[in-house]
Amino acid sequence: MPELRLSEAAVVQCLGRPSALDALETPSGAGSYRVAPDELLVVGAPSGQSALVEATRQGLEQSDPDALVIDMSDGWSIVSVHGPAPDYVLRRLSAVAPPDSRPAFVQASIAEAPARAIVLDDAVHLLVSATVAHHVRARVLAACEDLGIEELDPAPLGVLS
Amino acid sequence: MPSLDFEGRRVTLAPDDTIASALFRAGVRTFSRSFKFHRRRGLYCLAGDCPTCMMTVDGDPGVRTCVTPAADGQTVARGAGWPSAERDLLSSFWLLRRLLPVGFYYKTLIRPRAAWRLAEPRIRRLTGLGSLPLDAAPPPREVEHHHEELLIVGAGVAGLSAALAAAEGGTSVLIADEGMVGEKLPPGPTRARLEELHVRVREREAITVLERATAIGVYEGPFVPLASADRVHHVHPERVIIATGATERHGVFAGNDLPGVWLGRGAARMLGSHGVEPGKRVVLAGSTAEVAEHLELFQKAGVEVAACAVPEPLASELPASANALTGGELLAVHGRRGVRKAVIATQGKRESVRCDAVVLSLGLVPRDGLLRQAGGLPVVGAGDVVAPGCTLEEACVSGRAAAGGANELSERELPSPCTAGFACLCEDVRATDLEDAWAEGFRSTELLKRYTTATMGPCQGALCHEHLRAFVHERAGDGPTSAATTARPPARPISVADAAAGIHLPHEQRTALHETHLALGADMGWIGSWRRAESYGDWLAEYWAVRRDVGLLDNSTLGKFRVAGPDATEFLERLYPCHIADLTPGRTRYALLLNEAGSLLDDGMICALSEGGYYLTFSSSAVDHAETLLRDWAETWALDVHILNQTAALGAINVTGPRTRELLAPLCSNAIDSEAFPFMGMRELSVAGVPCIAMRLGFVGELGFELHFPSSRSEHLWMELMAAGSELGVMPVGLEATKLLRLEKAHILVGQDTDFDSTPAKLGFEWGVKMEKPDFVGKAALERLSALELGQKLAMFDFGDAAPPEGSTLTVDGTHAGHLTSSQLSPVLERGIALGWLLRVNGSFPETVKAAGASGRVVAEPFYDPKRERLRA
Repeated sequence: MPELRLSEAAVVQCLGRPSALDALETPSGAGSYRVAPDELLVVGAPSGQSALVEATRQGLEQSDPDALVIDMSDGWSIVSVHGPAPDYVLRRLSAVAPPDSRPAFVQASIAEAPARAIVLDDAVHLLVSATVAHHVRARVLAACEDLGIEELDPAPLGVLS
Repeated sequence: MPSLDFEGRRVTLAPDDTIASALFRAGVRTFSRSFKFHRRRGLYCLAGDCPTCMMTVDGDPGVRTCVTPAADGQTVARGAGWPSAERDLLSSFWLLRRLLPVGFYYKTLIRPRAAWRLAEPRIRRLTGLGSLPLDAAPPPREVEHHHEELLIVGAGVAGLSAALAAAEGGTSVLIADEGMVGEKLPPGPTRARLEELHVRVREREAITVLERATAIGVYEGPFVPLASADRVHHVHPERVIIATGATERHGVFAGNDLPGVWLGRGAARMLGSHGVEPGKRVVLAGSTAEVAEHLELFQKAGVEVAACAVPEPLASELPASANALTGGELLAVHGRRGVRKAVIATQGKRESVRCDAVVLSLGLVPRDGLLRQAGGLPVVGAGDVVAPGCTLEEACVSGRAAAGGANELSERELPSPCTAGFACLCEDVRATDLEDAWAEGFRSTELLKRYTTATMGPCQGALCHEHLRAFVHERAGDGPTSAATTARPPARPISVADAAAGIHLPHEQRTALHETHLALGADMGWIGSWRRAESYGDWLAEYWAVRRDVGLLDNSTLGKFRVAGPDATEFLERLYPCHIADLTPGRTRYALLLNEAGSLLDDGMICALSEGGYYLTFSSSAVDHAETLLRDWAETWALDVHILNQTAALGAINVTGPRTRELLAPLCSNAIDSEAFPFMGMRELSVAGVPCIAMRLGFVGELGFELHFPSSRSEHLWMELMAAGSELGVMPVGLEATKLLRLEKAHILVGQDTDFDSTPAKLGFEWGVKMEKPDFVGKAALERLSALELGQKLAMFDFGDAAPPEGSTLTVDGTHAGHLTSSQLSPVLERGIALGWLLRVNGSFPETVKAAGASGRVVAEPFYDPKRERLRA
């Protein structure tokens, strides 16, 4: 039975030269996701929020001193759905084709909201603007109601890498 | 025993019943009333192709009951007829048919002009197929997306063969059928073959079968939505095979719409699959070998076959018991409530045959509506769709060929042109209507379609399209004039809920303080896609709190952007008409955002940050547009800048009113007196422990600080501010009060007080434009415009004790002189004040105007605090 929860996470947004972003080493326990040639999202556990910002900033300091590294944790909400084969979340809420491999990162309109999806074997994490998180949460619950989806209390995001 | 409710009557259900079969078994013969003349209509095709069985099921009108499974507890009713469908007085329209000619709407009720307005609602009530339930919106329907490589519509022999062939080649396949596989077929070799193929298809992992999923249309992509009971499937395949089979040819002759006239396969299905005789004494009429099959089926079931009207070669193959009328041609069917006799011409004679059912087998017509929608897309047909009447083997071969991507359309023979009867059952278009339309000059299939509305009903031409073509072809020959008309979605009737499936708009944006506002009793309104508090119950008290004490405004909806990178200054210099390079940390600047035409797109604040880069704000409804614009210009100029939209990440609260400092000072980490923090200053400081970018602004005309901070701290900061101001008369302030407060200061609202060509000069904002700059967006246009005299300008008006409604026209001695964009009674000034567009009249801008009967004068200075003393306090 699928389970939905809002995941608490640290989200760092990096804007810099593509080569510098290519070379950035993802801090341990976090995941980094390229959203544009000059833009990268680093997502990690909420407990290490400031450490994640600092590690990312330091990681880019040498290769791109002009890079912009900003803690955007408050701007993003993560709607996580756990359960086996979580493709159905994408199939029911987005026209984007579910990725063939895992883990995967997808950018698409999901539940009519601009979103990024981290697709794992047993979970899908939908990163959406905090201003529309209530809508996406409600849409996931409605679209997966027939699957018996249950909502759990918010919890920190687990390890992504 | 399961049963359904049919107009108050309990109808028991047999296994595998459709609604139509259950009702027919229960003796119902009139299933609907026709669209225009309210003629009785009975079951006809039993394949979902014609409109005659459409009823209202559980409140939904237009349900094709012949393909809808019956279910216990359903409520079924006929959609039209007064006082009832069984005894419909409106059927007297048939007697008045000479007064209801083709093109009725183009010829009648034109003059006087009010006639149509009076007649339209009555006509709407009298016609149609049922009533839409308007008392409640249907529940939203969910969608599911599919991305198989190949979609096959139609799980017949050709479709299943195509699926197997494609899957063998490693292609993922989705095959969909509007019914259950094989359910429309009576037992026999075709059904046996189909079941064998179906078993093999089910064994293939690469093939997904969707039953009871009706294709709505074929769209670019290709994209094919399929409506099913629980959801709408949105299929995004790489290619599509249409294997929807064929429908039987519609017979057009006098009396062809009477209940009791059947298409042969429909009658056979009623008997073979549902065990109900289509009639007691039947006349078979046709030109295909299926006549013999039907004859055998009926005679085995004990149905009396009164006559078989068939051409010579077929007659010789029929048994003597067939009562064959060799060379017989069905001319007409007579009856009042249903078929009573058939008139057959044979060997120069007319013979009347008493019967209660006439079963037609006139050949097959491809069910190719979906294929005809798919011009230019990777879509091919298979089976009967491309070769109607093909054998089972030919259907298999055709399916396999389609899986390989190719299939040729076979030549089609058109039927004999109709001369009597109903060509289009959906729209009640008779053969004589086509003749009348032709005589009036509508001489092509497309023109006839539009003028008569033939082919435009629920069946979308499935039955009548080829008759329309045959009619034109006889008169105009081959060519575009008699070509097939354009097919458009939906191919089958769908509900509005199906069309809107998956759309769950509007989705509102909420600030982090949304729940806090609700708890305070806020009336939430819309600003673009945002929800904001209009008021908290007493907007006037909120207004006075700002003017006399202090108020809090949740401004989190403002667009908030970070712009950084080596070229950030250059980028903003080119973007904005004001200077940027001289903006130092600690100062803010009000900036206009113009388009290339020099018109105002938005306005906002710019701050230079101590850590480098800039912080920009935009109005709430312009956030998305602003981001697009910024990125577009950065790319166009190929500048090395980073643009980050922080709108969702940062909250904003405006603390404003004469007692603002009393409230804020104890909470701030730094001094905020006018020396330490002057008007239009910016400081990075801590308020109640929350790190903030603070700007000293004055949108509402009082001392004010706008605090921007991490949005997760919004509630904490709001509560701390409310608590700190409790002794100072602090109130939360909504948009209603804010709009009036800013109007007193004559501050514009972009979009309300501006329009598409509001240049800075027209707005009186020349001070915000530095024409000495080398370049900025809109400069070239402003240079050209500066040579022209202003034709209009945004002006401030004092209307004394009146406040004309917003939008009121301004006049000067009866001459149009503009309109009002904002107008309200000012509590503090005790007079009506307004902003509006003032036109030049007789060469100059008027000093006095009239609006909605009130006299107003143009004023030169803002209404409230013109010397800006309160702002700078």
